[in-house]
Amino acid sequence: LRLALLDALRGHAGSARQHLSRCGAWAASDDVQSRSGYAATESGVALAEEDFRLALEAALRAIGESLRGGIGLAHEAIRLAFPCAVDAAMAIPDLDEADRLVELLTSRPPGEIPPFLRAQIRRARSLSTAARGSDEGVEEGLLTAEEVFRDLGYPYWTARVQLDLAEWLTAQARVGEAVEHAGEAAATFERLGTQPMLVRARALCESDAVVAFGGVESRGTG
Amino acid sequence: VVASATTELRHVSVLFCDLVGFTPLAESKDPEDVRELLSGYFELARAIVFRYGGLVEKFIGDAVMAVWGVPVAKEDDAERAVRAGLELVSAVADYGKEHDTDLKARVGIVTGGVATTETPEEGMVIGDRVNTAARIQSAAPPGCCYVDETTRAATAVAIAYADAGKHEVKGKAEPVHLHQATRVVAAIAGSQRSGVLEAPFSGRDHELRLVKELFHASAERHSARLVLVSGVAGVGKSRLAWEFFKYIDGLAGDVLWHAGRCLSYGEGVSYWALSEMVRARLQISEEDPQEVAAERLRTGLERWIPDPADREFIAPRLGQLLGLPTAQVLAREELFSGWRLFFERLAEHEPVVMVIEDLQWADAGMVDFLDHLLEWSGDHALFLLVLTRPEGTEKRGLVLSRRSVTALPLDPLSDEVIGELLDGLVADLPALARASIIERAEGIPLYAVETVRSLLDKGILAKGSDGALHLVEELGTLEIPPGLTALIASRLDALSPDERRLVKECSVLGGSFPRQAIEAVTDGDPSELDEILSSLVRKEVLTVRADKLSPERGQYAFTQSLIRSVAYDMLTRAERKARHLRTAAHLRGAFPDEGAEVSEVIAAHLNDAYKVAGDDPDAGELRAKAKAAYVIAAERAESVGAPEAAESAYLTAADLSSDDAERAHLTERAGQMAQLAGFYERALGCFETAVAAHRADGRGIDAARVTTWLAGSINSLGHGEQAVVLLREALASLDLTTAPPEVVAELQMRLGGALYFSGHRDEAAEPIEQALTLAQHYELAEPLAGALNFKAILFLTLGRLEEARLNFEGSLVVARRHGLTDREMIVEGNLADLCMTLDLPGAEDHCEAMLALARRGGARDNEAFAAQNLMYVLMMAGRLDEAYRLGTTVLQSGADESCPAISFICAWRSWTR
Repeated sequence: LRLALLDALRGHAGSARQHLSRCGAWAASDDVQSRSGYAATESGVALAEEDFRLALEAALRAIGESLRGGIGLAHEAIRLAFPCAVDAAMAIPDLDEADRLVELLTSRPPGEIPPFLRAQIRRARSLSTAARGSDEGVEEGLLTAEEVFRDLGYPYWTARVQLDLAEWLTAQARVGEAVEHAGEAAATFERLGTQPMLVRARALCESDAVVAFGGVESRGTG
Repeated sequence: VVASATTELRHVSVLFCDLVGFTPLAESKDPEDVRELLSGYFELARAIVFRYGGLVEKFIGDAVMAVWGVPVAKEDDAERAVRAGLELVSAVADYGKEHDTDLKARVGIVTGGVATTETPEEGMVIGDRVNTAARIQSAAPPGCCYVDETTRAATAVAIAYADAGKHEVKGKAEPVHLHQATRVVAAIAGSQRSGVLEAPFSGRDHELRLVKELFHASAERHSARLVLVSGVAGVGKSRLAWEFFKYIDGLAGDVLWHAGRCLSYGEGVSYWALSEMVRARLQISEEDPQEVAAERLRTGLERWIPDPADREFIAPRLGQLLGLPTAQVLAREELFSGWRLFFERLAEHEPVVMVIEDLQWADAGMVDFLDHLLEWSGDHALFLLVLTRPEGTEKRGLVLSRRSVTALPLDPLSDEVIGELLDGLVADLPALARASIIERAEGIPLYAVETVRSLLDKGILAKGSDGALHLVEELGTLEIPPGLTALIASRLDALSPDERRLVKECSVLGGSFPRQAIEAVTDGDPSELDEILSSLVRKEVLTVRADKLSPERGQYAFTQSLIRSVAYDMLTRAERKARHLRTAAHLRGAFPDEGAEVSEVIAAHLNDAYKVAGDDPDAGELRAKAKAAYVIAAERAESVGAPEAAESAYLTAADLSSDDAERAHLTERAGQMAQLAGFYERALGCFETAVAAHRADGRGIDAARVTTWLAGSINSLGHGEQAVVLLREALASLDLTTAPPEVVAELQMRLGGALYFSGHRDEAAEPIEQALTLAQHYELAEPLAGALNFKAILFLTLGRLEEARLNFEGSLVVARRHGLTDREMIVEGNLADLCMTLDLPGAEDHCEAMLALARRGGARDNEAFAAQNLMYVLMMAGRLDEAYRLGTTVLQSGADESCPAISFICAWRSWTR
């Protein structure tokens, strides 16, 4: 399952699916941890395949199983499934579902929510708000999430939020601020070999708006 | 600066090999194909010459010239040259077959003084003998290896020759007497030459070549390989191993050879074959007193294991295998890892060969260890040649589908090959008799050999001056019994009464036995014993073990295991009883510590004596002795990490016990062993029997105590609800004010776990608290560490994360303080998981700690658990390449496709243990 996740992050969807299929028996296991772990990974693989509806369905299954089974918010199945569910909901787009997910987690006592998930919640709220056309708290939420991920030492998620922020800033015509975030995110994705996100970051860096501004490389952030 | 050539006269062996009829073949083939064929042949020749310690001097057309004795002479140069010559003609023929070409080589070898020079452009060896070798090679027929008289004389102790007559050789005034090397008949320099009748090695060339190639691949690539040779009795398994041994012994490079047999007696002494191999490597004999064995273990490890930390780790584990006293009884996985490390370190010196005979009689532990070795030591040059009858291929535990396992079934030989074999044994066997033996043999070479032996026994055949067997009396009508068993029985019938009696007496002792053991069981006159034994060796009923490395050196053995079983069947009931008792008494005296190391064998002898005692007055006493011996055997098997053997011995002891409470206790012990070995259904059966017996006799506390085990088995089978019911009933049956606290604490701790697993999270806290109270009050380490772990898990699921962490850490402290390694490993894993999911620092350290504990203890499931957690930590830290490498390693180390998934499931489950 771990290899499936790694392959999914790097955009090797075929190989990811192959690793996942080896563990197919888990989907119907009596053990809630096995079921939710499988579903969370399936969601990540479906995202790599750009099958967003399956990704959302699998992630909701993982979260639902975990919460019903009483294995707690700290369980890694939720850590894996929650950001997958948010990404899928934003891609479909199904903003109501994204809000429901945030509500599901924030209704729990704050002490039960580990820092990583708190940052993911901030990110999810910001993305949903922005998708609804509002600016309120978006920048602050994304910056906070970025800071938390950076403090925790999670470079992939730091770069993800940097890219989210760069895309939002570009849409706000604040290209000058966006390029720094986009360039740093692209460099991280390149170092990690996470191709799908690298492609997205480069697309932003090479977009007309950014190029017109002078491009990323000229700013020396690549 | 050009160095001047220095020439000197040296004693060398020169080999010439060329391909017969290669020129016309080359003309009929595509030049590219010819080039490839020739290039492959040169590679093959170069590899063979190198393996036997020779130097390829030059290639001339399709001929190869090689020399032994330069730049450094060795005493067995001539012998290695002839071994290489035989190997060349055989390998070239096979090489031709692989390329659909009838390719044959011929070889000529001479030995003597030649002029050698160090200037490479002139070649190293020059002179008349080089020319003579080339001419002798020309005189050899295709597929043959001819040598001169000097070479023959120097090598006759290890090589069989046929007279090739005198030949005119250009440049020689007189005809030269030549000899055809036919086969290798001994280890290097003639050691271990078999005194018994040795038939030509016919019809198994392909199999032997495969074994050799797999060995070289293992040695060169540093990979573990197991070749499982299977076939019915007499089909030629041991002979294949013997041919392989002679081959290995003849190679120039050192190979660390080990051989061990699985005992047929009783249900097999746990790890006997392994212990034989370790003893041989460390030069510890079976009879060595414990202090001598301990000293040899120490000095042996100093010789073979350079790292003191490795020695410290290996010594107690090998000590436990060899029955030496140890400070702490180690669990099986711990033992396996030490034994494995020993062989891995040996393989870092030289390639290691391990030959295991009679796997069909192996105990389950031995089979598990072989599998463990393949699974864990895949990147070491370990070559395992395992011989078994067909039933041995179905042994549980050996994963035949592993890429590192090669199955090599030996089918019966064709009539034509049996005919060749007979012709090689007897020079002038009449056609009718020959045909009759071939028909009856049904492809089993041992049948043909045994028939010839029976003719030797009867004086119909005798060895002639040429070394071959000849008819010396009229054969008459050859009456051969059908089937190998009947044939052997008729051979035994033909022995003298004294000889037959001794053979029957020896059959009780097993496959091999020292002279003292024979003295202990025989009714015969001791003064005549040597004479009878000599006669039986002469008649090839018995043989004397000659392997200088074997702890059994000098012991007698049946030439064939079938002879032993046929002879045993001839014993009367009274004879059996007396011999079994004498054998048990002998073993007790002969082995240190009342025969502790062979306790399974002693127990089996006593049990066999009891079984045939019938209504004898001493039957009850024998039964009690047999039971006591089985308990010792079970404890010994348990101490060397062979829980299945221990389970079996405890169950036999329980059957033999006449006391109800004791029977229930022994059944409980059997259940614990089954549980340890992972056979939960079997464990469940034992615990249910024990609980019912205790209850029936009013031993309520014992019934409750065994219920903790019973609940564990039920839980392992995934029936948590049922476990809850049983544990509650057990607690309810006790007066908690007077019941032993360790029983109550264990019940409460297990109940808490069972409630949690079965989804009654809210009810789990109370029994866990009860367990903690009692455990602390009475200083009970295991329930304390276990309950703290469960309490932490409860806190975790309640979102009380700090309390979860503190309780995990508490459990870890208790586990470390009391040496509860398994608990420590699980809690390290849980702490890693906690840090990981709560984004706390330390996750990687806990993962590494668990990984180290799992690897040291050989706990594969927990290794996978630790690895997958570590992968997650690495992923989050942006170390994706490291995570991928780790995952791939874990995946590759799995036995098959399903293994990683299984490991993963176990890993997830152990999170909540």
